[in-house]
Amino acid sequence: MRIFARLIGLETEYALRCRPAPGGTRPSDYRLYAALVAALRRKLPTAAADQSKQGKPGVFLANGGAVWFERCRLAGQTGLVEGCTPECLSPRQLLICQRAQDRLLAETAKEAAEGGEFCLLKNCRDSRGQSYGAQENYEAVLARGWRLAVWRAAWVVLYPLAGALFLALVLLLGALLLVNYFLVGSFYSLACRWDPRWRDWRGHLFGWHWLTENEADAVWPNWLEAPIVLLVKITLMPFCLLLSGLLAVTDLRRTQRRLLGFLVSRAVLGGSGWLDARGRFHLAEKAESRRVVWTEIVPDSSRPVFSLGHICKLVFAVPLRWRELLAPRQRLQISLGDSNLCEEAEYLRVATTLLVLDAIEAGAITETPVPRWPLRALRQVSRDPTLTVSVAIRGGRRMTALEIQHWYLDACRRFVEGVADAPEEAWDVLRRWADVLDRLETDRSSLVGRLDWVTKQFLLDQAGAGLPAAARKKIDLRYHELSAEGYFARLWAVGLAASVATDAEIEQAQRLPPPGSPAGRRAHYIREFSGTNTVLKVSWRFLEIFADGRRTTIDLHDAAP
Amino acid sequence: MTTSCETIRPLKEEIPQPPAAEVAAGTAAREAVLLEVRNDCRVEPGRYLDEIVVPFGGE
Repeated sequence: MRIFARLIGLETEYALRCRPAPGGTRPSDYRLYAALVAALRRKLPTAAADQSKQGKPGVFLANGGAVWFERCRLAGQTGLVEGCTPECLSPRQLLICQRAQDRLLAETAKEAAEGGEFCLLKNCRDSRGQSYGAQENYEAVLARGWRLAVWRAAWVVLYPLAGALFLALVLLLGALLLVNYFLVGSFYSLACRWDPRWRDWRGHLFGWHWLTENEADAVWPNWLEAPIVLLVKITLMPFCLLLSGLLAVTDLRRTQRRLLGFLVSRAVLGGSGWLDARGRFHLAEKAESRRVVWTEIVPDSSRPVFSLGHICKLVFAVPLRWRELLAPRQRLQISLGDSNLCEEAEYLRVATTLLVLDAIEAGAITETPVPRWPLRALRQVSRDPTLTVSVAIRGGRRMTALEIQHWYLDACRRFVEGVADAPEEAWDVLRRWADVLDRLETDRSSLVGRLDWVTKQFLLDQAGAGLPAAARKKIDLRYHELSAEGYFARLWAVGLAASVATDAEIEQAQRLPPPGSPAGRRAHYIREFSGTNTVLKVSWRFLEIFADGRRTTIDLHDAAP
Repeated sequence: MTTSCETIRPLKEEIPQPPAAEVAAGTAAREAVLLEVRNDCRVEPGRYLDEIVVPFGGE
């Protein structure tokens, strides 16, 4: 039994806020992203990502992390900046990398502002309530023994199905585009003869990419995007259902089921606080947006608690990634957590999840309090800042979020006590966890600057009391702004927010990969190919280098170069 | 609800608490930040909200 001995990583989507200089116009989100990346390239070595393989524009950083432009579908050049930490080996290491990423992007956005205001927001809801944000990745046991055999055997059937669906999708999309080009193209040729001003409509009719050659513009017209997205979802739906069914027999699903009670109540530690459209305060930004627990019926828009995204990427990868797909360990992806500004909240969110995961996989946690209706329980917990509401547990009991957290804390304490070489960090996590749960019951105001939802509620109650809804919503959003004007940043600047990592550690993690992680090897190649035309494709396991028409694959888990 | 905190032992050290002078300074700093936030949040809140729109969200 080992504690904190798995790879972990965080993906964070940041919203872009821009106010141009007086008289100027706001650049598109993609232009802002491009300016951000240009400024990043001046600060540290970067290597370009292969957009055709990774599906979005992006760069890899010398510290082993990456920055992407996550385009919002159906919305032209609108999108988010996504930062991915390098994979780490302990929660503290991950916190340091996440803080380094936040700080690097915040400083770079300021440099890229060009006269106006440009900054990022680390949150999970925009002003209209649309959801985005964070994703946690934990290396976990997918299956052992006969379950692993079933998983591998099932791909003999599933893989041809996936291939057939993929082929059908390509053919359908190709046909759709051809019909569009033929019909609309015929009309366009006639219209141009009649009036040359119709040439201005080329982007609208055929896709802006053909005019701008911009990597963020689509090769289809914006109006055709909705039918295309619908077509993709309908085509992939049977595959997603089968995959969800297959995962139900794996050890991973059993682990997820045992994690569920913990995750439903975890908002008391890691929630960022949120004001909904009616001005009600919630503990967590993302709790209300979850639609399913694990069955992603409609790919990419099911808003699950546990995502299948990583496995889907392996299945539809070209060339095939069999070794990763059939491996006994995979990424457990949790899409439920909020992005945190408070260091301790972010640390506890990941570190407590890791401890629970370690205890589950070691067999130290078996019979957990499983919410009878997980999504309803999630919302009940999130809507109750008094922390008194109880949720129905299978078997007939009812428990509050704090009682569930105490249950897992006690189980993890027994687990850590039983591990002879438990790292000191595990004890530190238990200590902080117990302290925070105690203070939530007895002295909540002492958690201002330590937990986000408590801090935001404090600002809303003290600074936003009696103010109009728009001003209170501005507090809700500007709390997350990664600039000196951000409200959390103001608390931090005067020493009112607790720190876990040191400035020196964060500064170093902006330049260097985490020690001992396979990301170190990736960072070596990123530096080697920085400033060249070589493009890379990266996963936690492999690095692919595309240069001079050749592809070289490197296993990052092999010995260092 | 305090039972588990009593049983969570052996926890090797307590979280250090700041001295009283620091607490007083912290209170003053906190009041100053609250005043800043109260003033700032009333400046063109509608315009600020319009600047943070992510159509269709992400993930």
